[in-house]
Amino acid sequence: MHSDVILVLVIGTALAFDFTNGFHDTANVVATSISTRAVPPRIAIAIASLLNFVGAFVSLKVAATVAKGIVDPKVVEHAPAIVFGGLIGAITWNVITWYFGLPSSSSHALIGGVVGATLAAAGGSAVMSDGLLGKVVVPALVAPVLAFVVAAIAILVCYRIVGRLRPGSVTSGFRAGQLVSGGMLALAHGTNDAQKTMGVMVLALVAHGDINASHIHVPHWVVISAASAIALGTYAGGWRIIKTMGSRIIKMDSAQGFAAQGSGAAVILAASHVGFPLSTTHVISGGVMGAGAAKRLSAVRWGVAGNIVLAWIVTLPAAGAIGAGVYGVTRAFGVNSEAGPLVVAVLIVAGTALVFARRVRRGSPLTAAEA
Amino acid sequence: MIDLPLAGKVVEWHQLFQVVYSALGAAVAVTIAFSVAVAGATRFVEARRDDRPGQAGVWAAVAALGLAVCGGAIALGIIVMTAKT
Repeated sequence: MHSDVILVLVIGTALAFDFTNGFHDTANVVATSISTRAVPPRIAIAIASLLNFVGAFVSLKVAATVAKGIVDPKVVEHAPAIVFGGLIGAITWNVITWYFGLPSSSSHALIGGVVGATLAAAGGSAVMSDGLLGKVVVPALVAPVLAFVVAAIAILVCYRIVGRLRPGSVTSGFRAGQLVSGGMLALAHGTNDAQKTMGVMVLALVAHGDINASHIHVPHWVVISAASAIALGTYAGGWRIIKTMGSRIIKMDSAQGFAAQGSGAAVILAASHVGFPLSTTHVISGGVMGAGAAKRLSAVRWGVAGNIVLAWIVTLPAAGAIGAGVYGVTRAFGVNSEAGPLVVAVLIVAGTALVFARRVRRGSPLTAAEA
Repeated sequence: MIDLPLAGKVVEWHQLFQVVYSALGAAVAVTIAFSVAVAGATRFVEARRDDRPGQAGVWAAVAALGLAVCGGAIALGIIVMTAKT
């Protein structure tokens, strides 16, 4: 029997991570619909929140990949501090990149954190390198490029069909279509992102001894709590986005918005179906850039694309290093000691509050850069 | 021809290609179907305004067909996603 305090800390941290994931990604999911005036912001956010919740119930294959395809669950079985270290590594990296305005992926941070903490705890043999490379690294490289290409082809075909028609009615038609494409994107986001948290929660339950490492399954309460956390985060994040939306969006017409959202949703749902945990942020960005580039190459903010590539390269090792460091700190308090995770939890809450306060005082780096 | 034994063993090419062709096929098919629906609806309004009921009927049918294909594709996608395999 392992510590209930550590389990509560890890589950609470995982749900907090899920909430911040929804909070952070609201912009990606609703920006296109709002920028083309397809849907009023309040309605767009409410729909996105609801469909993020529903999406979490669509599939469990990504959760299975995270729970048993990246690190050996048998190694985690007696060490909840590994899962805790991974989560703290991901949250810390997210806060750092948020502070500096880097478009990093919460998903890559989560996987990097768990891998780093596992490496520190049990060495390289505990990391399933085949799973990491085949199910995370290669799909993460392919997916944004795929979304870019799919969106570009879709918008070119679309312009071919409706290009000579009256713009007014075409715009109205595609705005109506964005209700569906935006909804599908929110559903896809909930499907892929909520499942990553479910996978980590399952690892925590394995560490606590509630789930057998040889017979991994996802309990219903895990699905419901992860779905609720990401939906609440999406809803909460939306109100912040309404205020800053004007300075961040890329100008596009409603047909481009439809193509970008549809392409992003198709890539994320197809990947979720085979259990690939993708960065939804990168896929949606790829779709938006593809729809923009097909119309006019200069419409794409290539600097943003460069930052995404940079963040992609750095996130896995950086979150991994922090996860390993956090595991080391908690381990210093003793094997499965409750003191280590408690001290780290207090420090991370205090540190995050400090960073938020500094950022609020200085203003958003994105808004400042674009002003 | 490049030999990639490590990549061949580690990367699940079948699943990766499944993602590529599913996403490409679904997104492009739905976009074509919806564009046809928008085009049909636009032409329908124009034909009705110009008092051409025959043409208006044809364009209305085109629009309805486009919407039906879209709806069917989305429903099929959700069924595939939720099916236990």
